[in-house]
Amino acid sequence: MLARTLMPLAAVVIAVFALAATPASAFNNQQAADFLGGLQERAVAELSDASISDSEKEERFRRLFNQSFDVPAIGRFVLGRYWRGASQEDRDAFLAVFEDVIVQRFLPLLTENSDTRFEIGTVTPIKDRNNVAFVNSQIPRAEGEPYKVSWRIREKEGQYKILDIRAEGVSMAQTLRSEYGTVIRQNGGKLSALTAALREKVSGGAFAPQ
Amino acid sequence: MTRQRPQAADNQIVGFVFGGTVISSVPQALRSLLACFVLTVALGACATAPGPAGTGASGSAAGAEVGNRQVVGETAGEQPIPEQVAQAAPDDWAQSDADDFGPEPDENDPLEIPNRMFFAFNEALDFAVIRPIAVTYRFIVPSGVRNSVRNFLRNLRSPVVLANDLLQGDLERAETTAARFFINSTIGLLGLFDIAADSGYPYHSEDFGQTLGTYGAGEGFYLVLPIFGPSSLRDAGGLVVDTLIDPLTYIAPEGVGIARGVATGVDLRSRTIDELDELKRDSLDFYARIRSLYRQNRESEINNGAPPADAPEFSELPGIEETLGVDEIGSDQSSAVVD
Repeated sequence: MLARTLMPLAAVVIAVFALAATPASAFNNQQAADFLGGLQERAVAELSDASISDSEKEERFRRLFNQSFDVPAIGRFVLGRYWRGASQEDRDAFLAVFEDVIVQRFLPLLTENSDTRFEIGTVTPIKDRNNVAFVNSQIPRAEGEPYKVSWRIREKEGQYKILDIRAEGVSMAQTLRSEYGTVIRQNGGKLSALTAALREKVSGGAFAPQ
Repeated sequence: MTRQRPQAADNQIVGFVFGGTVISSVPQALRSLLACFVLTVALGACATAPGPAGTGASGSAAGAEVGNRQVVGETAGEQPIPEQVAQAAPDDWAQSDADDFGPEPDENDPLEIPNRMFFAFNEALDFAVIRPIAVTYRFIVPSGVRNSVRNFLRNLRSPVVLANDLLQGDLERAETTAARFFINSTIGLLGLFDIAADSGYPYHSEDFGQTLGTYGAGEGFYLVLPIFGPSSLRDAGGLVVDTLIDPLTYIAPEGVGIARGVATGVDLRSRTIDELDELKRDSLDFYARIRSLYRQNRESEINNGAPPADAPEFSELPGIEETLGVDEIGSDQSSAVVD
């Protein structure tokens, strides 16, 4: 008896949840594009300020990077099965040096080229994934056709984060996955060897654009 | 070094992803540069070195249609392009999220040891001979002349591109190639000027390796050819077929073929000097990086630059290794090199 009266109620509750949940958790093209555009504006606004010190810029960049990129997911993907075999300390050490690599690589570019903006274009859905899509963009060039860059962006609880960047058909994450995987394999499957090699490169300034 | 050039800033931005241009032209560069030399000698004809990728960032108008697309502010929420949806595969990231990586992606490189030897040989040759020539060429020859050289070389290759367009059943692109050949060979003064690109016939490249790819052929396995650079079983065979298809192989004297091969190599190398330097500088394993870039780039070329379908090896379902314990996976890598 009670169950019978509750059933319609339950149906209503489920329906309400479904309605509330579906739009909120689905990938929204407009929101994703706004996220990317907003990120660009923030990067320009926060990093091109000539009055702040370099260390402050680096700090801001690290914050921006961690907020807008899903760093742990990227780390997991890039290391593949070696991620699973690694201890938590090794994982953390890798993610730390990975962040340093990114900072050394991209911070100078972002602070120097604040006048070049990418233009956000279409969104390409990914089959069978309703919370991930590619947001396509173009970077205009002085001559020749613009570079085509796609951002793999994932929605999670209303938050958008970048998973991967693809330029001209080549994925950064897949390239790193292949390269890092080879390095780890050649070092007997030890993640710490990769971390050490990256650390050495970073301290030598190898990733800084010249 | 990069700064001396006007497009340096843009290059750097895309350097973002290791250099966007970079990426698409690198494997091309390595391969073709050399394509030149050996093919010519070996086959007594001109090299069939593919031109820079149609999607490449060289100054071609290959992406003209892209440029016309509305980009700014268009989020296309209402208009996802259907064929793009169809092409994007379910992917590896899903597995990664679930900490479920499946088998180690097979690098499909059974000849890794000889490949690495040839790779080192090519690098040495590049360092000692090819790069210096390319640098000198870029320094001495004005960019207008260099563009004309490239236009001329591309025009010479048109018959091969046309044949492959037709073999792929792509009549639209075949028409573009044919129109380009007639326009540029006449108004364009024997191909020195790419008039056709401005008239809505942008350049694109095709080769028989790509044609086989559109037929569904896999790459076979990865190969590094001496002089040629990165390739695969499929693509190396494709080079031979392209040479056999090329009318110039039969009508031009041998010297012409050699000259053309050398010119193609120098042209391509001169356009990728900074990018290759950078790719090498910040790599941990240059060989592995080039191998991955070559594959992804070929995949993209086969799809004519269409949006990404994730590499098949990343979409595989969990395999045998899934049943292994974590410790084994962590420690026993040597046996996993070749599955």
